[in-house]
Amino acid sequence: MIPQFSRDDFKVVIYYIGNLIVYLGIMMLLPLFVGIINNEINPSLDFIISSLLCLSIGNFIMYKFPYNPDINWRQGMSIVALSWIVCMFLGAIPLFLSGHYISYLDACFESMSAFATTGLVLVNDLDHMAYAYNFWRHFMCFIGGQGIILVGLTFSVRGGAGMKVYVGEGREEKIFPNIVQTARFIWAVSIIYLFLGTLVLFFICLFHNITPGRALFHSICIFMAGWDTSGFAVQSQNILYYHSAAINLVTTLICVLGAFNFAVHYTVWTGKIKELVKNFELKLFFGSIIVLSSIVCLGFLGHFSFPNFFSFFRLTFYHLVSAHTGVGYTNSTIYHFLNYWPSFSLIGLIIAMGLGGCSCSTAGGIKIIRIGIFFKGIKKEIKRLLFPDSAILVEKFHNIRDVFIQDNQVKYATNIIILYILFYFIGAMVGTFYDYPFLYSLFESVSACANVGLSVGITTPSMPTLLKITYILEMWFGRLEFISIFVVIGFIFSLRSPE
Amino acid sequence: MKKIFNFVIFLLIFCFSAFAQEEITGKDLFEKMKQLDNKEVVIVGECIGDIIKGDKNTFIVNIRTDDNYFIGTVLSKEDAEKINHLGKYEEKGDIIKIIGIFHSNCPVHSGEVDIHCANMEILKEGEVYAEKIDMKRFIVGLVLLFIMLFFTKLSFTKSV
Repeated sequence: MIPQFSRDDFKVVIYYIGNLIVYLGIMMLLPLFVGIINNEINPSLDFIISSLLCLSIGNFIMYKFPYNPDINWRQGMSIVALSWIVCMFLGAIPLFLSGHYISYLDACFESMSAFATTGLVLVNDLDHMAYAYNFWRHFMCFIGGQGIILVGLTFSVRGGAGMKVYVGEGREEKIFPNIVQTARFIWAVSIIYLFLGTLVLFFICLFHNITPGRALFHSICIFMAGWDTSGFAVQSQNILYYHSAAINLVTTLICVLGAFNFAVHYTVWTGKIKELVKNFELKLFFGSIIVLSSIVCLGFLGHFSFPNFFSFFRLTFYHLVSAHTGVGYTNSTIYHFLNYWPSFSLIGLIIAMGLGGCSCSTAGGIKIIRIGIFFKGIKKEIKRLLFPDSAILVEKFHNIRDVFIQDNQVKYATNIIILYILFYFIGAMVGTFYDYPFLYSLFESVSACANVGLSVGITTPSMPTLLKITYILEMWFGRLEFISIFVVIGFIFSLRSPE
Repeated sequence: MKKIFNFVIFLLIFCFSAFAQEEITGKDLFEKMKQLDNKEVVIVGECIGDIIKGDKNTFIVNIRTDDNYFIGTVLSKEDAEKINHLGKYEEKGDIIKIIGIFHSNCPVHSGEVDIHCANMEILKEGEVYAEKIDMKRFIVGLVLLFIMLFFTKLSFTKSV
């Protein structure tokens, strides 16, 4: 029998959510600042309203419910799963007030898409949006990519309690023994890359005649959305807007860096550059990019309609990397997918989206390490059948340190892979229910659940409400890797079951 | 006979030129991109964002059509200089009419979708709107400020 969710559990969970709402309110002061320096009066007022609302709700909750420094696993998981939903609703308030969304549901969709670093959009007339709102869209990606809870961890949760919420956000890797130090390291890495990436993009934008103020804004936003693998962009045309090979190149690098395990960043930063060559997950990641590039290229045999090889490479490889890293940047239009991409190449792209980037990164999807563990597990099973019973079988790989594969690791990886595939197909079935072709429905569903953001045109403000809700749920489940949400669902059922 | 032949030729040229000058919607342009590839099109849209420097003294301006489709247009320096307003927050961009060659995979710009402009005309000047302060928002903000201060005080009192 599932242990019942007690009143005390409830109080602890609500207190921490209240705490996080306060931080969300504080973070809304940054877009407010952007609004003020750009003389955007009404958008600034919207952020004042949203921020004050968050601070009021958060402080009220923190006043009403008791603080408990020790939280258990089920509480930790529940805090994570519910926080993301609460943040979606509150983060959507300034977006809805902007008038760029036809309904509050659309604003919630965009908010979840940003926090979950997906990049599917339902915004109307993005090109006339105020800087403050647009900055908030990208800043939500940055907060979500780092992990909403990680934000709280950095400042509030202490000691062992941190680990319970850290794992709940779909991360397993601890870079430091102390989880707060790990959280701070992840922030430090991101901020240093933010500075460097913004600088490079800023100069490219200046070279393209974009005014310094706008160049800075575009650079910061592109970096935040690229590094945190969301794929949002400042303008409706996404990366195509810039018509720049240099921006394509730099964003490709940002996408790849964003999809790396933070522990690899740390190891390389501490001078162990050989890790880049030895790391099992990176080998798999780049191997997968090569294999899937070949699949995409094969699809174009007999359908080659590009003016030259460079164009072909630029348009296909960019999308493949964008899909595999979970970013979702695009340098063409959905009509190119519909008119020029053969089904076989689209399948290559769907597989790339579904696999995702590395573990403990901002990328979504199954995560390439799990595929590696799954196949290592199969190899171990085959060996078990071939070798005598007395033989001790060992399978290992190098991921920062040597890891010996345990049966429970294989089981966990397999479970997560199955869950992702199941959700990819559930989303595709809902799309098919509304008469969208199966391949396109699958494309969009994988894009939502693996938090990628590439689209073949299904995601529009006019799409059916049920499909919007399905994609919101897929983004939420996919970003948190199911387990913490299942814990919450389990507790909901425990409330209904008799004592 | 010769007169009839000349008349037919004239009629054909007239018809084709009239057809060529017909404006295309963004939807038609993208949905028929294969058929229209490397053909002359006429399109009208609002200039948005920035005038982006391209290669060889050309500039790229992205336009937004009435039916909410977007395309980059490759302009000469002279044409680009005619544009005064670019659509952004509280600013409506110039509405321009472009006659040019549509490329779904441009051979010059490494496969990007664009229109190489042969002729550009400004149909309507854009404008900057003055932002009006919404007093309702201001009052709601003020009320929330007091509520926030009240709860923050309670929360702090409890933690102390």
